Amino acid sequence: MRCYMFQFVNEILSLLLVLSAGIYSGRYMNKFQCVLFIQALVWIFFFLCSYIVTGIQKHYNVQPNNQWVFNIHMLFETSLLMLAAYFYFQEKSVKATVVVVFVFFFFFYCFRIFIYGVKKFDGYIFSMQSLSIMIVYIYIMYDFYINNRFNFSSRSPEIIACIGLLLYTTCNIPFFNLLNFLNVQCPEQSRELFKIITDTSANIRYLSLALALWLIGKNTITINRRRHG
Amino acid sequence: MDNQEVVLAIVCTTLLIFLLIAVLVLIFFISGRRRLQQEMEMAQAKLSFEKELRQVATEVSEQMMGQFAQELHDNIGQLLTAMHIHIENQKLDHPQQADGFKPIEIYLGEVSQQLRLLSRTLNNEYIGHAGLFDAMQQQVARLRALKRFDVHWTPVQGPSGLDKNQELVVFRIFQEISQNALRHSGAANLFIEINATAGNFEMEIRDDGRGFDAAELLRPHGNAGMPSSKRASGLLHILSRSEMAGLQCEITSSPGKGCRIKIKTSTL
Repeated sequence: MRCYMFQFVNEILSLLLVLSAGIYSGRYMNKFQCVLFIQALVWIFFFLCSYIVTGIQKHYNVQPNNQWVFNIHMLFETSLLMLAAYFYFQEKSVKATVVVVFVFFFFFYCFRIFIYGVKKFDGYIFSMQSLSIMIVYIYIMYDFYINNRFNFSSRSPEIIACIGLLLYTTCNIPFFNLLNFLNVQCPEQSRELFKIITDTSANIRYLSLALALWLIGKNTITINRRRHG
Repeated sequence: MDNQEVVLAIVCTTLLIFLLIAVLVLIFFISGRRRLQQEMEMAQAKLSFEKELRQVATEVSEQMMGQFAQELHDNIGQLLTAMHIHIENQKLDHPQQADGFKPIEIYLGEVSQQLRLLSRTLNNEYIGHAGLFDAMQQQVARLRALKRFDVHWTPVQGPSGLDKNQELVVFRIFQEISQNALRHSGAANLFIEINATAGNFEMEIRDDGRGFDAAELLRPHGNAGMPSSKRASGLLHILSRSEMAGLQCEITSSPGKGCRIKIKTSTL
């Protein structure tokens, strides 16, 4: 129970920081940043749902399985991240590319869910999701680069959020693809790997987002102060 | 391949991916920073070249205005004086026609007066010698003589707190603003307020004319970041001259609400 609580606190801490930073900077966010914050809120909802589901299952002495929650969450997560990217880009052609990438992911998602069901976490869907996010968010970083905004000294909030997101998605591809195999073959080690890889990368991702959201508010307030003397 | 090896492979692959992403981001940062630095240097060089160019243009125009003022004073002024003497002689020769010469004498006096004022306001040496406030007084006298609008100005005494170059720039800006008000504003009143205390200088000129959309007119367009409208060139000139002289300039205007231009030293 203590370990369970520790894991919960470890996972929720970065999310609480995101929540606080989002409330702090809420007024100053553009659409892109706002959707990223909403995505974090959606993740908090699903994250709490997963714990509630596990708790209920344990209460009724059923084998705990909250993987279907994450399967459903992947659709919401990808939709929101693609929507954020859609708002970020100005050119119609790039917006259309984002839509195409999302539609491709959506059909793949539906196909996998239809064939294999929702109960078991699908590593292939996660891989496709990661690939979609990588394509779109690396392009966002490239856009920052060619427009000379890719500058560490300026501490661009969007870039910090993108780096966290990319680290999370890419680092989890190998583990999530073998998750079901590991759950059967060596469940103990699978749990350990989950803590090491997924929890750590999720913490990096949401800490980056929290930092990005906090910077949005801080930068805007600093600019406003300078403007008003 | 046993389970331990699979776990190890996953950890190693994840670490490799993590490192790859980290290196990629680092390369992006470093090259981005270098590119930014290079572009900043280029922009700096371009800026200093433009500044030098403006400086030369200003010097040339000041020199031309000086020559023009000299010409007005020495040549046309002399001719007017000769005319005046000639009329005086005519009056002495034909005393019965003295009344007929009176209107000519009045007009000639006004022309001489206007010419003297114009000559002084064009002559940068005079501005440097007499000071900013005296030169402005001359310009106000010229504007009042035109009777196009009421000029509300309280003569100011004492030092302006600006150096000679800044005084000249402020005076030229004042001339530009008053010319704009004359030509475009359709104003009934022009208010000039000056506050020069303890080394700080602030000048506010406002009119109650038709005004313009300052935000739209001065909004940068295109890659060069220059306002597209030709109408903004005068205002842009005012802004660039103030910047060159180390002064702050604020232009506030909206349609139907007149125009307000404020020039001040950066410390205020």
